[in-house]
Amino acid sequence: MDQWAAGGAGASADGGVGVSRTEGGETTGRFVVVLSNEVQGDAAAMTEALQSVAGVSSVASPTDYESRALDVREAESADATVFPTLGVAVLPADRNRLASINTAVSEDPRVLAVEPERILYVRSDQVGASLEYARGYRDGVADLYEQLAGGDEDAALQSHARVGFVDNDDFTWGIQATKANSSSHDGRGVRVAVLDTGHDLEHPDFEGRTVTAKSFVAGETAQDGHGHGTHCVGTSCGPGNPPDTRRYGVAGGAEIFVGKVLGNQGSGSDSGILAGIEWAIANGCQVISMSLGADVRQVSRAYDAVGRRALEAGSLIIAAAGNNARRSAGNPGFVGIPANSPSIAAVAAVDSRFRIADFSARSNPVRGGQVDIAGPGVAVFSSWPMPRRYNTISGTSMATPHVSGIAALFCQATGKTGAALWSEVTRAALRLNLSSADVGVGLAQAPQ
Amino acid sequence: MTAMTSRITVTIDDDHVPRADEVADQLRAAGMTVEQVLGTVGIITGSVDAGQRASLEAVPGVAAVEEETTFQIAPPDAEIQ
Repeated sequence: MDQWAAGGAGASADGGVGVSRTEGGETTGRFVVVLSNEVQGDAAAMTEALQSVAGVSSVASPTDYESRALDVREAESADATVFPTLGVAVLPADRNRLASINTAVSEDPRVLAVEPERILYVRSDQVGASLEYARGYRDGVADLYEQLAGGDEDAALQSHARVGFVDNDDFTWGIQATKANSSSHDGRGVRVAVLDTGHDLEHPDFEGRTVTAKSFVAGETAQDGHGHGTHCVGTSCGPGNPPDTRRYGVAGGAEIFVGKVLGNQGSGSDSGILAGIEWAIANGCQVISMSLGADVRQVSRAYDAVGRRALEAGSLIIAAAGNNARRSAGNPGFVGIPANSPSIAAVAAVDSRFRIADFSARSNPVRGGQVDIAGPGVAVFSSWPMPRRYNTISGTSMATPHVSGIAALFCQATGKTGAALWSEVTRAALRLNLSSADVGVGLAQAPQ
Repeated sequence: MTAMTSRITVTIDDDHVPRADEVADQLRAAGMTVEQVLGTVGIITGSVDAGQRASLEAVPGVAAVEEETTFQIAPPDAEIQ
């Protein structure tokens, strides 16, 4: 719930009428009150709500007229104007009325938000001012949209991101930003395969967990001699309540399948990776997490076919978009193999302020080459081979297992697999004020 | 392996996935050294001499013959992985 404080940004100090110059543009002195779905569409109920919270007596409404268009002169003489279809009312607010409306925002469920009415006009003489105006208008509309469409929780996440999420004693920033910390699901009954450099099979945070491990690298066991794999296993499937640190894992109840497809030097090839996918499907893994990629624009026929056959078998492959961008140097990069396959999900990385990571690859124009979704991928704390135990690193490799863990939670919550599971994950994503070419549908969110 | 040999990944078409072993036999006959037959995902991996690669593409049930892709992640001490 958003309150609008008299004297705060956007409101004139005396709460009176008249134009006031503010950070977000000029305001009229009138206020826009957003009412709940409960009364939206019902002019009488909206009028009654306004009468009880703001003491207005005369109300104008477009429904008073056959044309359903508002009579402006009539509206000017009324205390308030309601727009039933929108569930919105506009009313002048003196100090007393503003106080009672602000009380209503926190106490009366019929009132969702109060905002100053802005003066909107086009300035063609000054490009800078016009852009500034347009930006304020965009942000205002976006905020309102988030509150109406996404509910208060999404608006809260977005406003939290403006300050920046931080790792606290209980949770990493990524666990907070994806709302995994408040999810009632932990991935129990779901099998997650992490195809990477293996896992530290002696790591104390995974004591008592069911871990099935297999190496597809000649001459090496599944024990992680690099660290990357242990970090990714930690983010996707780390414990819900680790004994000695904050929570960093999304699906702490999932059954873990570790396929070592990258050697201790960090290299691998199709033969090991495709064999790892085959093994994961054969073991009924509903989610296959692959924090790996090659900087090749053209789609691989092999990975596209394999991704499609995996989906048909009920296994969703989620892959890193890639780290080949250097946005600060003007290079947005591109999504490579295997994430550029139409049948494989591509995950971008955002930081704790929901900004695209400098290294995170942009959509590639080939069919399937788009970024599909984003995950927390900058300064990600997770498990690391002993004795170090933990490490904080960045990459689309770190964003990917966040999304894989969330997919496991959705699989548990909905029972869906394959393409239907992917649809659940994307529909729930938090839309971001960033280009879809960079972050796809937005930031992955855990089912609650 | 000679310098002329390349590692390849062969994708089997949808109709032939249930008969991956038969496709593998025909690939061998056409000159491929088969290392793995992955029957669920419909992939055959191995190697072939450069001169014989075109004949693999003509084998019934073969959807694509591609050079094997190699992958390399950053070293453990890199900030960005």
